[in-house]
Amino acid sequence: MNIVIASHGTLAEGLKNTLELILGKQDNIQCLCAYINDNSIEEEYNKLNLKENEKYLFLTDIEGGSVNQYILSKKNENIKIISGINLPFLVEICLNNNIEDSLEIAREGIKIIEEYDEYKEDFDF
Amino acid sequence: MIQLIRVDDRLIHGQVAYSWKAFLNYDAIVIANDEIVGDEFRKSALKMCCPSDVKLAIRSIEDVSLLLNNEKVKNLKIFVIVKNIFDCLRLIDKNIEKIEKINIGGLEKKENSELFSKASYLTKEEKNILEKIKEKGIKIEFQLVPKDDIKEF
Repeated sequence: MNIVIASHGTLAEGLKNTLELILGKQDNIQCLCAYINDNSIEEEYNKLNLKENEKYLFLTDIEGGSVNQYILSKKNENIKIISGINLPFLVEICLNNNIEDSLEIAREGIKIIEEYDEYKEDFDF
Repeated sequence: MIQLIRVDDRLIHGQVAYSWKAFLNYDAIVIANDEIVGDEFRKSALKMCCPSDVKLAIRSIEDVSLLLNNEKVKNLKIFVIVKNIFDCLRLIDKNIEKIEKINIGGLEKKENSELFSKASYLTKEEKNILEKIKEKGIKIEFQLVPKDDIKEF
């Protein structure tokens, strides 16, 4: 699956970097980091290597942001957009290529960690 | 059966719980370590890092052969993790079953160690132990995640 992570600042690159520490190199992922220099989003978008007739999953940082709005303006039948991306989503989509499952994992993946449960071993012998 | 023995000083973490799980689809993780067995906090923390559909056992190196020789465990694909190379040799010397290779995936920098492979530092003492393991006909592969190239010792 072709993936583009798009963010305000360097979150996109940071997410990719962290993801690759866990899963190894991901050649199918490109990043768009907006506002890290004087370039417009459009200039950054044009630097992406997007092939005609190929499908791309754009993962944006936050729904109401300008990055998401810009990608939305480019939307066509080959572009799918998901906003509010997190690391659990990325790990799951890269391992299993299933958007619906990954969305569920992403939602389950953000939670309050209270304290560790008492350890019980799974083998009783 | 033992699917793979991994030496990793972080024990269970992202690479083990996601990358190796996806690659090997192991049924259980067995941690062989003498210190953690008596440390309830660390055991709870490790349990939390373990994928939810994977069984976890934490045993001392002495006790781990009892578990791995149990008939009920023989049918499961077991991913065994030890914290360091010394424990690895002790485990191999238990002769639980024939070991073809070990995987080394992350050894922190320590005094008098040098980088051998990505994120894996070795001291002279550790290299000597690895030579001993190699003499037993066991392949030693440095590889953090399945997608990385293997560096053989």
